[in-house]
Amino acid sequence: MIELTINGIKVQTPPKTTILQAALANGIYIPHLCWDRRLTPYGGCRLCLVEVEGQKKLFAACSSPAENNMVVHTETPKLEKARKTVLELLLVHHPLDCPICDKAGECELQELAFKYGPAESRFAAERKHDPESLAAPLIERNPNRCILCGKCVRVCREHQGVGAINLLGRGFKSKVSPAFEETLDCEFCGQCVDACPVGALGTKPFRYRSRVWFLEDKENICPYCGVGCTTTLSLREGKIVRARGIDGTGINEGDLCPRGRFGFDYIESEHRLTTPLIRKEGNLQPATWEEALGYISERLSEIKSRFGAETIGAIGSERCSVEDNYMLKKFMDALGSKNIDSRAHFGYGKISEALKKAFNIRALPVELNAPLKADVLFVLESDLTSTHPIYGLKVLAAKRDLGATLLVADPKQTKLARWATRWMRIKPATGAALVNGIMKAMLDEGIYDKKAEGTHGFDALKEALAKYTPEKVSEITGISADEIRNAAKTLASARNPMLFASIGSSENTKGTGTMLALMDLCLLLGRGPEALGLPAEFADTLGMLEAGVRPEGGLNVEDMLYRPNLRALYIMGENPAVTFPDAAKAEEVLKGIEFLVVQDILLTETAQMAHVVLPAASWAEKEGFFVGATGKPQKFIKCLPETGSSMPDWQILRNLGRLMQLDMGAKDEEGLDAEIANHLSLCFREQAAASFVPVEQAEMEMPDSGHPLILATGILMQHSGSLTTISKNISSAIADAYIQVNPRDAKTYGVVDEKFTKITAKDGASIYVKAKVTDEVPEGMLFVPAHFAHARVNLLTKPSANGEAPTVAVKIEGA
Amino acid sequence: MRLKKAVKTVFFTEILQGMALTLRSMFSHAVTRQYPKEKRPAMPGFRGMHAFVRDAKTGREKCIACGLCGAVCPSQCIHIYTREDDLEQKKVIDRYEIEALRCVYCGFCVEACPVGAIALTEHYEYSDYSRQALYFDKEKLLDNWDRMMAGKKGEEYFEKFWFPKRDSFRSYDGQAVFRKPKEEAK
Amino acid sequence: MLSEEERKEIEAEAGQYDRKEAGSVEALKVVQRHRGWVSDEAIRDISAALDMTPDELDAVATFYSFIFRREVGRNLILVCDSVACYVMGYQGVLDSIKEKLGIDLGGTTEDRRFTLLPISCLGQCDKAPAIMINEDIYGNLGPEMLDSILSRYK
Repeated sequence: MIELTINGIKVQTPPKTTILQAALANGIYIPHLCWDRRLTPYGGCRLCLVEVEGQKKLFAACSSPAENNMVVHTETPKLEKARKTVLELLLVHHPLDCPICDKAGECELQELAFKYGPAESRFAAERKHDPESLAAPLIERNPNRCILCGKCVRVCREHQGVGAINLLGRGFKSKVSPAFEETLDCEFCGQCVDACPVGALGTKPFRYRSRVWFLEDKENICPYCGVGCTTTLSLREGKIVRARGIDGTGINEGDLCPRGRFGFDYIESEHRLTTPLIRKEGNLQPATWEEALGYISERLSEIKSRFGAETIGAIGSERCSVEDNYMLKKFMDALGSKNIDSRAHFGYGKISEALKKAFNIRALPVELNAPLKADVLFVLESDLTSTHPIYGLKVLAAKRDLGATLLVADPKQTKLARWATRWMRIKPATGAALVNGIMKAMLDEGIYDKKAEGTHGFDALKEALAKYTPEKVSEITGISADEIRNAAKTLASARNPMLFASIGSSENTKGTGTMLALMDLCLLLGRGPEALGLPAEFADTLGMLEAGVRPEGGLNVEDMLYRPNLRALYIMGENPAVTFPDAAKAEEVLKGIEFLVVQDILLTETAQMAHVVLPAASWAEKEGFFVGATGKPQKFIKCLPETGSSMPDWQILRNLGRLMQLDMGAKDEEGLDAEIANHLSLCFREQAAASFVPVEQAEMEMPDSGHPLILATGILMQHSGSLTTISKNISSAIADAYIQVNPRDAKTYGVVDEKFTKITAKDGASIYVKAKVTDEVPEGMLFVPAHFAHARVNLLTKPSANGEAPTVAVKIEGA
Repeated sequence: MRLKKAVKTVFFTEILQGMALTLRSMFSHAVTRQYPKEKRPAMPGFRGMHAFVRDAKTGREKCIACGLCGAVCPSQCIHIYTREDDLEQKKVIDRYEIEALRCVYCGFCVEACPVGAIALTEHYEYSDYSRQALYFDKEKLLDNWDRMMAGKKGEEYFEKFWFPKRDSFRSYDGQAVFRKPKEEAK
Repeated sequence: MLSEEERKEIEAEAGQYDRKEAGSVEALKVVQRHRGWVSDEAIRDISAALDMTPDELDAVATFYSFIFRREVGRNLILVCDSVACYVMGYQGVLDSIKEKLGIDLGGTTEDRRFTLLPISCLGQCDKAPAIMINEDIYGNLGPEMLDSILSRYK
């Protein structure tokens, strides 16, 4: 520890910290505009000047390292004068349009000018007269207000790994802009907006909506991916007007992705359900809660008594709270049915299954900061920066800031691939083969951890891997044998390797086998599950599984939706007709079900087929717990009144249960919280055994001459499931599905950029999507995001028979 | 002492004194006002009913929706809702409401306004049969101006009674300055 | 698209540094030598070759006055506008050039023969006013001398 004196107070600070960090950590404020905790010091604004005893010149605290026995003063008349001058100079160009600037009230420049600022400026200079840039979606730029601190530029490049904007030009004319002063086209994460100390960058949905001092800020847990970030919502008149990440709050410490920052407005969608609907004479008609619940109770009792409870099924949701899922499970238990499952079957369920085989655990929480401790990071066919943006940032940070080695195996040129130390561009869905090849290379060269030999199944693994020689794997994956050997060497030489992968329920290039291979590799490296980063997909995936929404002894989602097994189905917060693979088949089965109840916030495609539709309160209209990828229960709070007569899901189920005279236990929220407390104290780390489970590279639907391309479906950074597609904010950035085609394929098959293109699967199903010609995807692969209901991507996909990657071979025709 | 008192009692001096005052008052002017018929003129700088200044040039309100009046209001009776004008991409008022019955007439809102868009008129008669009539929205406030401050009165209002802010903005054209008290500027 | 020659030269320049982006200025100069100026398209191509984003390279390119982001003429006239030249009659020289060529500062003649640009100081204060055409410096100028000087450049 370094000891120095700041303003007469003795403070301690770790080595390699700056004076500013030492001061801030000890509660001494030094004004600063261009410094950010996450970024390398820039020393641009010159406001953090301090006096160091024994030194003539003033030091910029943000970029001067703290040294032992330094005596620092931060508030002296000399400094005051210096700061005054710096501010005066900053304000030479800065317009005084505070009365209409949305930043006023929380503007750092405004506050400093108020504190130090001279009343009148001594300098005359020209003002900037650049037009505001409003063409881009979601983010507005006002170059006139910019003080050129470069924080946005650095956050975009250094922290976010994008580099969409930069300081163009020199001197008076310089301004922050995308290359060639084009319209901003980036990820729209909005991190630059939060970083901006003045009002030069703003979010368009908040533009002129309200002055900040009229807002009420509430911290809430983001409802989208599994990371569970805290997003600070600003409310006015019972409406959310913006969401921000505030430095240091929540597990995300203030970082947010586009969904968390802009995706809040789905709540006020005009398509929200406000009253229960009952199908009468073929049409869904509004009804009262009494009628609706009475009708459901009647029909379910009838079906139960006539055909037995085992003909009734339920589908839970990874987006609903633990309470909701717990109540659904309880309701089904009370009815006497074990048929309960969720979309996780296509997503995290596969990881869960692999974990069960390899480590005998059901779920594996991730630690958000674990990647920062690793020295070699291996990411297998997963775009973590899209599926779990904030977790992905940590992987990036490990490589960029801490110098770790990042190995990425992915056919797509993802952000991680661009930043990778080595990018192995394998063929789609060949992850298992690649990992097998790496393991084989390690075994051949004897560079695996010797304690792995004692692990159960080692000999079986050795035997199974015999045929996965690097040369053979090179043939399957399309990368050279040397690359595979190199990867093996890098991993084997790591002190603390970490392996990453995620499976989204709409991704079709990974399966249980891929995950098992990764776990084998983990064991072969002599590591336990702590070296695996397998984040759960949605906000409440782990909470839902722990609440009991998993098919133990009952039918799973595939049995319920793709085979006519059921007479009644209760769907809570799920839209199988769109988001599940093989949508046509699912729709057919759903239509054939005698009694379908859908409980949702919107009249979804599935709800349109239902016999009864119940309006549920959405996130921020109810409170409850989410247990996401980190395994920590996080409470989200109620900020808004319910829409119409909608109710929280668990209350609907409780009321229904009571009406059917079933024992539903808890009467109120406190009682329920006490009941689920057992389910929240998760003991995921109980590791009974570890064993090698050798896997083969799965048989996939291979491309042939008629259908020569592999279609990969997946997730975009801006979207989450189909929920975000009703958010107007997010739709303004990405509103429509597109298909990514390699330029060479485009040439071969006559596909034109931005033109509609027909994609046909082997069974003849086809969809039309706009083409995007890009070399982000390799030859022979197409990528299409699966979020958009109207694109009907899931007409082409299939659920996998055995938990393996359900790849689809397609042909493509330019229209 | 006792004798003096006795004299006073015998000759009713106090009563006579009283009668003298009564007699004098009979010939002097009345000090009370016949209020509804006869109105008391407001003194200069009186702070009465609120009004929105109508810009003579545009015919619209001067307000730029900065919200400083709402921020400074001690009784929190000003509510401002803003939005972006779709055509001009300008900040405009969506709704502007003053709960006049909660106002304490401190005049901070007028002082805070950077563009001189709000005024306190000399009107002080508030009685009405509904509370709603005293809940002012933008139209009512503009109407107040037309009724009570139109013409020269309105023009002089800010010059006379409120610190004329633009005087302190004596500086290079379009230059960054902060307000300075008037005396110091001289 | 970068030509084979350009690509080779850029790679040679970038290869001298640990990080490719350190060779960005040299790479821009390579392209400018071949094409006379650096177009948006060229920025995109060079940035891809150097593993940079286009906006980073554009920031570098727009920072330096002598990386031309607009098409320039065959010959470059740089008129010094520093104090010494200013005092010694820079305005007359400049006006005369403007008049003769019919272009303003930053402009290019229609036949692409000349581009006229200002420059801060040529270090010729003892011979002010001074101009530079391509690599040649002319000092102690008067408006009457310009005809003969300009006629040397085609």
